[in-house]
Amino acid sequence: MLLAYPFVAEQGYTTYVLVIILGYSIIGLYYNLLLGYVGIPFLGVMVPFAVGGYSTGYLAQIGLSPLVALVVGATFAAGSGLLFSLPSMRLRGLYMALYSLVFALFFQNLISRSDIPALFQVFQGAIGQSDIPDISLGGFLWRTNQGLAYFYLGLGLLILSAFVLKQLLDSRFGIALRGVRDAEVYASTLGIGIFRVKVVAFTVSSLFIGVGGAFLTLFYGAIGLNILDTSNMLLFFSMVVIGGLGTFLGPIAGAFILVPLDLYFTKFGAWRLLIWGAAILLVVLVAPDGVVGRAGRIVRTLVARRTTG
Amino acid sequence: MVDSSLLLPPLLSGIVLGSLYALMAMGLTLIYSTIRVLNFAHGAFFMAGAYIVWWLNTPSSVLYGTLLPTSGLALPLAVAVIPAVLTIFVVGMGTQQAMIRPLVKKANPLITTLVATLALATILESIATLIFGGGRLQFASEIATGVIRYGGLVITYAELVQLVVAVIVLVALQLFLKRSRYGIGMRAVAQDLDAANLCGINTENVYMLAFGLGAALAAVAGFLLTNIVFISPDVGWTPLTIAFIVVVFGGIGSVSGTLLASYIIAIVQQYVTLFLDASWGLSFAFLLMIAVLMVRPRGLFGFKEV
Repeated sequence: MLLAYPFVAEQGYTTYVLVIILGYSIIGLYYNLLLGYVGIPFLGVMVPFAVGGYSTGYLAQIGLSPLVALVVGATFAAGSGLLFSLPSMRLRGLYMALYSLVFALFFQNLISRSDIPALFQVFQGAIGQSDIPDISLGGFLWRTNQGLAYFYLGLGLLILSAFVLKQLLDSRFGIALRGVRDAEVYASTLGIGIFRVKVVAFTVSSLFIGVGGAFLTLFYGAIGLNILDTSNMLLFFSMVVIGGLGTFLGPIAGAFILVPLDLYFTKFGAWRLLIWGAAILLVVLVAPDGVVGRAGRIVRTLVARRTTG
Repeated sequence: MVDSSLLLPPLLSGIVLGSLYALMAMGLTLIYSTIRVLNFAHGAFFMAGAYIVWWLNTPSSVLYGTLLPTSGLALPLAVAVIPAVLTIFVVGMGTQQAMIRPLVKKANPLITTLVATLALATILESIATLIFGGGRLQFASEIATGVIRYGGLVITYAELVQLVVAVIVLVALQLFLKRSRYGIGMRAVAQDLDAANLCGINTENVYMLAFGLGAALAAVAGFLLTNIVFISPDVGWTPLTIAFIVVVFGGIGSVSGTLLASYIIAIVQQYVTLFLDASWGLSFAFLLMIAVLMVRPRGLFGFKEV
């Protein structure tokens, strides 16, 4: 059905929005893995995104095939996740949150520098990367037609990521994950390597978040420091929370709600952030379980009423 | 070889800066140790307090192209601080009641309040941008001008005022926490919530007070710090980051840890600036924090996490 969409609906701006939604959904799925399934308050989600995006952009610019660059970029992102998780062995709750936040800020500080040649060559400091080459597999530039080719790529990537996530969650590893979230001490007495679980979780999540970042970077053709803004962090956070922490489809729902909203709000100009913040605040207060969480509860209540009659 | 007379000034400015960091960090640690919530809007309170003082203090004859005309009251700084801090105090309490309280009762309070306070910070920052414009503003009057020289050392009167005010506030806070009923109540809630409830302490009031007080402390720090530099809508984020680093470094829930951490971080930052570059100061603070965390995952003196 989704594949048929382009022939049914009107092409144009919609495709553009959908591509972005797809990209954000991939990121959201795995951010939710960390926040909702493992229960780690991870505030550094922009780092793997940026690592994936920037490295892909740089590699594509120096001549590597963009699709290959995407894979390599995502691998670098996974590496950053691994690096991040290593010192975190004994960090709990608040300290993990703060560590991740400061890590992200440290990273931001690093890549915005103009005084270290190696860094500047890749990240271009305050200028950012632009003119990133498009994918041209099949003899045409993929960004044409509002990025229809990217739509299919994104769809494929999303399905792949969702599939991998589902396998992870349903496996013994998935049970271990939830164990770390719900009853860490008990889990460790059962022989679950808490640290190992966290490291794997961070690495895998960073990989796919990097995929999302690389994907979107190739689509936009550019990337800059503004992706590390707090407003972006808010977007990612709320996408997961509003969609439903710890629910599988939650982040996708969150992306479908928030991405169009975010784009729609740009017409408010200077008032945009104000309305945006207020909207998110309202939703979080009204439905802290998230949309999917709420829907799930409503469904369960209805079912219960029916059966107990 | 570095001239030894160069080594003392960073220590001095580190002490001044450290006191201001302590103000910020105290507010944050107060809120977390009682309510177990991370206040992402702390930097916004910092900024808002400064803006209110600016608004009250700037004479109407000076137009800055802002949406709201300056109040024209041109209150002297010492007077203007009081309504500003009180306002932020009330805003803090209101935030706790409206946003934090309903979320704490539901699932995942740490994460949902993070989103909520982050959203609040975004709202406050955009309000400030709409009213005052996105650029940097200067205060019309400074807290003090002039410098003191003593055998080659220089300290500005402004820094002195910053130091004195910060220290007075910190001492007052300590007295409040140790001696007054509400202060003791707050410490009780921080130590053991259930026991505090059993003792009949009204925890709801304590939460409200803690948040308001934390916000007020940020506002004071905001005014003191921005007065001699500049003020802009996004000015609160760096102090927030530093407060976070200090709190993690010193250990949540420990007043002495927070104090010690503030000064260590500030002094280290000043020395790094001397030998390297100001922009490395923060990075070094971060690395220091990581190093400490690996050895003592609860910070220098942190309490055990429940």
